[in-house]
Amino acid sequence: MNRRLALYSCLLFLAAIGSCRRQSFEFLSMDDIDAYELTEAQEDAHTVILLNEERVEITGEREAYWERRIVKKVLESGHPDEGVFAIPENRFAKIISIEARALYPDGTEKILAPGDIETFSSFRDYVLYSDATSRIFRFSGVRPETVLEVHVRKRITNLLYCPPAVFQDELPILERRYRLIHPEDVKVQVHGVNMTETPGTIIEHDDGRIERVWERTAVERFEHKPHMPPREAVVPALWLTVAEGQKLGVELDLSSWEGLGYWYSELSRPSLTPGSRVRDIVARSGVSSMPPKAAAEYLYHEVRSRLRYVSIILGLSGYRPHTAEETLENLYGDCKDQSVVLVSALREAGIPAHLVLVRTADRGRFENPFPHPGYFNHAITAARIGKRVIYLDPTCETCSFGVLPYSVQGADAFVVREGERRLTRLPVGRFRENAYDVASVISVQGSGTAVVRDTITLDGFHASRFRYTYRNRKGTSVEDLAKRLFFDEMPFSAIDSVAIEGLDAESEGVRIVLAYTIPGFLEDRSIVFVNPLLHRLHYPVPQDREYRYPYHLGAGFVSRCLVTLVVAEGRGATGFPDSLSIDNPYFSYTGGWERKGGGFEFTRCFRLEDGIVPVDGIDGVRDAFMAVREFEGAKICFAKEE
Amino acid sequence: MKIRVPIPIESGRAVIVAAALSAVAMSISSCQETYYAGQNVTRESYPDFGAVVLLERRSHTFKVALELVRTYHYEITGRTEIEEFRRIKILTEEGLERYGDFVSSIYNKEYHQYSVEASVISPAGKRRTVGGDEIRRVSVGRSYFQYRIAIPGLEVGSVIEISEKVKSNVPILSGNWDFAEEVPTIESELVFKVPEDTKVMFSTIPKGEIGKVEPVKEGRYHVYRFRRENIPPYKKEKYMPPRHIGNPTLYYYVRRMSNETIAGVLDVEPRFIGGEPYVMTWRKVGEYYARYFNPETWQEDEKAEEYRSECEWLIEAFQGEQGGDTEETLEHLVRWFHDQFQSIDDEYLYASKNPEESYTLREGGPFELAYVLHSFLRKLGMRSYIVLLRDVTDGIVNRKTPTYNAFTHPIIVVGHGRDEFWIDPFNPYCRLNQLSWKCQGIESMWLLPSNDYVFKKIPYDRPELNSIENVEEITIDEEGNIAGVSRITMTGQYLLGLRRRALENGEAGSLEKELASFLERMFPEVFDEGSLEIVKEGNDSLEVTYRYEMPGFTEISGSYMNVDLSHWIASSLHDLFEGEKREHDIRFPYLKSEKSRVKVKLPVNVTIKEMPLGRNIEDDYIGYELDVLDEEGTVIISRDLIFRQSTVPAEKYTAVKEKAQRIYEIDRVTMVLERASL
Repeated sequence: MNRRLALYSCLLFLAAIGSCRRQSFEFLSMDDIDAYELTEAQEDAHTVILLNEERVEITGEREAYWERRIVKKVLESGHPDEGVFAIPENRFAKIISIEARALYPDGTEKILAPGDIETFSSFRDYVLYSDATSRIFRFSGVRPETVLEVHVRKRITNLLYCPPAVFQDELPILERRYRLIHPEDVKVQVHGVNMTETPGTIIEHDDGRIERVWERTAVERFEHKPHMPPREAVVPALWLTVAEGQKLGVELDLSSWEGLGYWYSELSRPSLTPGSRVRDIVARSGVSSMPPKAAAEYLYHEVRSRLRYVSIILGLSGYRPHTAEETLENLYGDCKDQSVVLVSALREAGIPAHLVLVRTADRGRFENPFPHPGYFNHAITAARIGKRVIYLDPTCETCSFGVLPYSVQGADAFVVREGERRLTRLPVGRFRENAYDVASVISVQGSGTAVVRDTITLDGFHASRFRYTYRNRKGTSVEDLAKRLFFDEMPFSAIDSVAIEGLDAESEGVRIVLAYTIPGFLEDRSIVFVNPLLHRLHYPVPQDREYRYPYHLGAGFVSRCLVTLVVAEGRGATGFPDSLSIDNPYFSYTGGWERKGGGFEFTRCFRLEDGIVPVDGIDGVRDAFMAVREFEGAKICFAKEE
Repeated sequence: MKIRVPIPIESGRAVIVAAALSAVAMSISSCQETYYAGQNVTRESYPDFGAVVLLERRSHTFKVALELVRTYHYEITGRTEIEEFRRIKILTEEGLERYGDFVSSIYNKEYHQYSVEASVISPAGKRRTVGGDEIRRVSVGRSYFQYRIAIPGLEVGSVIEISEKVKSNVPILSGNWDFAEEVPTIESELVFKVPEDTKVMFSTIPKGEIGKVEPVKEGRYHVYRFRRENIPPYKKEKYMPPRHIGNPTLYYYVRRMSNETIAGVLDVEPRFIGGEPYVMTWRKVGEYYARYFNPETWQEDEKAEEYRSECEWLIEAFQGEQGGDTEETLEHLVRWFHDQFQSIDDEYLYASKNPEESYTLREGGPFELAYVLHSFLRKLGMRSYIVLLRDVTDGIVNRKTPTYNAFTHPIIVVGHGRDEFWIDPFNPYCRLNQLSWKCQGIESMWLLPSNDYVFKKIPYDRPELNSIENVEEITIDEEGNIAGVSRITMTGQYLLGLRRRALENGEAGSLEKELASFLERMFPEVFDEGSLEIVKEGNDSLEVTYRYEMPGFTEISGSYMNVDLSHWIASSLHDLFEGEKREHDIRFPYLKSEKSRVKVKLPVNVTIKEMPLGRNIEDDYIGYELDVLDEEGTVIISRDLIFRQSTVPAEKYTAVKEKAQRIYEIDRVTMVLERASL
C-alpha cells in the first residue's frame, strides 16, 4: 500500500470486531444450512453470506463481550481467498476464542485447531509501526458448495473499541442480525448511519438488562463503482457510544462535540508544550519580527520539509501525539505529531493555532455525524492570521502554503479548542484557487506540421499533485513525463523543450512551458477536418445507466484555456460550433470559438463546484458534460483556399 | 535424500533472500571517515537525484564445518553467512522519503538468523545509533519475518548506514548482485568467499560488463572480489525486460566442490570424506525435479495412503464424466481440474511439504498442481512431460548459472501420436493448448522419462493467434447520422486476458463486464454497451456484436461532411513508443494482430471529395496494410496490423518508432464528402 494511503490511517484505530462471555458454541447443523434458500441474484454471486450475526453484551461502563458468527457458502471455483480469515485485535479488544469449521461438499469437515492460527502484524504490507496484530487462518480446498463458519469472541475493555455494526458487505447477505445487551443503568446511544437506529425488537430481561435487536434479510451486495461516495458513507451501519464514564488516555465525554474537544485538548496538551527545539526553530528563523502570515508560512515550510512521515502507533499513540520535542528529535512523525510541532511553533511565534481532527474526503461524511473519535482519521493545523483562519497540512510534502491535499479539501473537520461545539467543513481552494490553466499557441506551417507552445499554470491541489508526480517519476525523463501527462492525444509529437518553475512547495504554483511540434497535424489535402484543441477538458462523464448512489464530482477547481491557432497562408478554418454556456449547481462552463485570420481563438472557463450530484441530477449532469465534450471535440474544417 | 520443498539447497524463498541481500565483510568505518567520504557528494554535484549510494558491499561466505551429531559421529555441514553494508547520503527531501525507512528482505524463521544495525550521521558529523522501537521485527507469513527501521534524526545532508547479517543453516550457493541502483552509486562491491579450490562461475548482464577476477587466498578459503566505482543509476523504461533492473548485474554460483576441497578446509584426510562431491549442473537440477515429480519420492509420508486413496477417488469421479477422443478428454480434464483445484499464490501463507497433500487439500501452488495433474494423466494412461519454466515477469533463466530456483512454474505437455497438447495446471484461465504470454518465448527445461532433460525454447504463439478483428457495417444518411453494427472476434491473449480479469472479479456476468470495459477502451466513440451480445464463446475465440445509432456523428461544414473512419480501427500501437530513444530493448508481452473490415454505405447525392489512400508498410517488426475501395456508394476499408517480433532491440527503436508514427498518422483516416443538393 502506498504511503499516501498509510498516511490517513494514522490517527485512529478501532479493532474491527469485539467479543462475548458465552463459552459454549455450536456450529450450524446441516438442516440449518439447508434451510437457507438463495434467490436468483444471490446465486449469481461467487460466495454468499448465509448468516452474519453479532452480539454485544455491555457489562459495565468500560467492558463488553462481543461475538460474531459468520457463515459463508462458496458458489463458484477460483476463490480460495474466501477461506482466509484475518481477525484484528489490540490491547483493548482481546480475542478470547476462535472457533471455525469448513464443511466440504463431499460431507467432510475441517475444524480449526489452535495450531492453524498465526499472529501477524496488522500492517503486513507497508511500513507502519504498530502493535496491532491480526490472527490469520485459512481453510484449504475451498471449492463450490463449501460452507465456512467462523465464530469469534472478544473481550473489550474500552467501549470506544466496540466496532460499528455494518449491515452490508461486498457479498450478498441472507441474514444479518445484531444484538445489543446492556444493563439498564448504562446509557448506550446507538447512532444509525444510513439506517434507522430504532431496533426491530426490544426485550427487557428480568435481571434489568435491555436487549435490542436489529435484523435484515436478503441484503444485496455492495458494489463500489467509480465516482460513487466512499463505502463508509453509504453502507448502513450502527455505531455505539456510551456517553459517560469513558476514558481514552484522559476522560472522554461523548455526549457533545464539546466533550470530544475537551478530551483531545487534554490528551494533546502535554505534547504541545514547547521545549528547546521548538523555541530554537522560532528563534533561529526570526519569525517574531515577521508579519504573522510570513511567519506562519515560514514555520509551515520548516515543519513540512524537515519532518518526514512515519507512523509509530504503539499503545495509545494511535490517539496521543508524540511531544513536539520528540518529533523534532526524530525528525519524523505522523499527521498528529507533525501538526503538534506546527501548532506548538506557531503559538511560540505568537500566532494562535489549533489542532484539527479531520475525516478525509475519501472516507465520506455522515449525514448526521455524532461525536466519536473513530469519525476522524487525520489531523492538520488551523492558524489564525488576523481575522482569517488558514488550514495547513504539514504532512503534504508538495502543498504550497494554505493549500490542502485533494482528499482533505472539503472534508469534515473538528477544530480542537475550548468551547468548540460543531464540525467544520474544510475549505475547497479558498486560500489558493485550485486551478488548471492552459494558454496554447499553435502555428500550422505550410507542410501541415504544427509548432506549439503551451504555457500550463497549475495552482492549489493541481500544483501539489504535479509536484508529487514529478518527485515520484523514478528516472522518467522530464520530456517523457510531460508526454505522459499532457500529450495523450498526440503520442508522436516531438518535444523541443520543457521548462518547469515552481517545483518546490515554497512556490505558490507551478508553471510549465512546453514547446513541441506535431508532424502531420494537417494532412496535405484540400479539405481536412481536425480537432485542433490539444488540451481538451477531460472529466469523467457519468455513464448512460441507472445510478443507485450519488455521483461524486470531487473537489472543485477551475480550468481556463486560451488557444490561438495560426495557419499558413492559403488555408482557412470554418465550421466552428456556436458558443456554449452551461450553468448548473455543479459546474459552470463558458466556451467560444472565434475565427481570427485563417485560424481561430478558442476560450474556455470551466468551474467545478465541490459537490455530490444526487441520483436524480446525474442525467442532467451527464447531458451537460456531453455537450462540453461535443463542443470541445468538434472537428474544424481547414480548406485550401482556391 | 528426502525432499521437503521443491528447492532443496536454495529454498524457494531463498531466491528473495539471495536477490536482495548484501553484506558487510568490513567493519563499519569510523564516523569521521564516513563524514569525509561523502563530503564531495552534494546536491550541486548530483542535481537530479534525491540521494547517492556512497557504498554498497556484500560479503557472501560459504563455510564448511564438522558438526558433532552424536558421540564420535560428525557430519559435514554447509552454512552461509551473508553480510551487507549500505551507506547512503541524502541530498533532498525526496531522498528523505525514499531512504528514510529501511525494510529488510523477507527471511525464513527456521533457516535464517538475521540481525541489523543502523545509524545516521548528521550533516555536522554526529553519529546516532538507531535502536528501540525504531527497529521492529514483523511477522509477515507463516514462517517468514522482516525487519523495518524508521531512521530517526534524518535530514538533508545526513548519511545512513545499514549493516545486515544473515546466517543461513541451509547453504546458499548462488546469488546475484546489482551494481546499479535507482540513484548513482559511488562504490559497489561483491565479495564471494568459498573453500579453496571450489569451482565457481560468474556471468554478467550486460555481457562482459564486469571483468574476470582472480581469487585471493585467505586462510583455507578463496575470496573473489568484484568492485565497481561511479555507477550511474539504471534506467527504467516501459516494456523493459526485467533482467535489466539493477544492471550491471553479476550472477555467481558454486559449480563444483570436491571432497578434497572439503577435506582441505576441514583439515582432514580426503578419505574421511564420503559421498558424492558437490557439483551444480543443470543435470542435477533436472534430476532433482524428476525426483520431485516421481510419486515414489513421497511414499514414506505417514499420510501417503490417505492421499493416494483420495487421488483414486478423484480419478474415478472424473472418469465417470468423461467421453470422446483424446483432445476432448483433455479439454474436459483441464476445465474439470481447474474447477476442482484452487491455485494458491501467496507463498508466505501457503507452504507445502508434500505435493500429494494437494489431493485432499484441493489446492496448491504451481508445483503441487503440476504434480497432481501429472499423476492424473499417468493414471489415465496418457504420456505427459513436465516442462519447467520461469515466468517472464520473474526474469530470465540464465543458462550459464544452473540453480534449483531457476524455475517458477511447471506446465505439462501431453503427447498423443504426433500431437502435443499443452496444459497450464496453475492458471485457471488457460484452457487446453493455451499458455499465458508469461510462459511464451522463454527457455524451458523438459524433464524426459529417461531421467534426462533437454532445454527448449517455448515458442510464441503466431501473431495471427492473438488477434482482434472487427467487421463493421455502417450506414450514413444525408444529415450525417450513422447507424452501424459491429462484430468483433478475439482470440489468444486477448481472450485469455479477458478470462483472467473476469475470474479475478468473480461475479456473475464478469466476462461481459470485462468485455465492455475492453471495447470501451478500443472503440470509445461507437461502442454501445447496451446492445452488447456474446454470439459465440469457444475455447479459442470469442465473438461478440453490438449496434449503435449516432445522430450528428459526422462533422458538417457548409456542403462538406467529414467521416472519421479511425473510430472503427482498433489500434494499440502508439503507447509502446513513448520516449525519443531507448536504452533497453522493448519486449512486448506477445505477438499480435489487428484486423478491421469496415463497410460504409454513403448517402445518395454525395460525392467523395477526399478519400484515404491505401498504404502498405512492411519491415521485420511490423506489417501494416490499409486498403480503401469505393464500390458504388459503399466505401470498404481493410486494415491489417501485425507485430512480428516480440523484441525491438534498442538500436532499432528509432527506425521502428518512425514506422509506428507513420501508421498512427495513416490510421487517423478520414473521408470528406460533398453534399450536392444543399
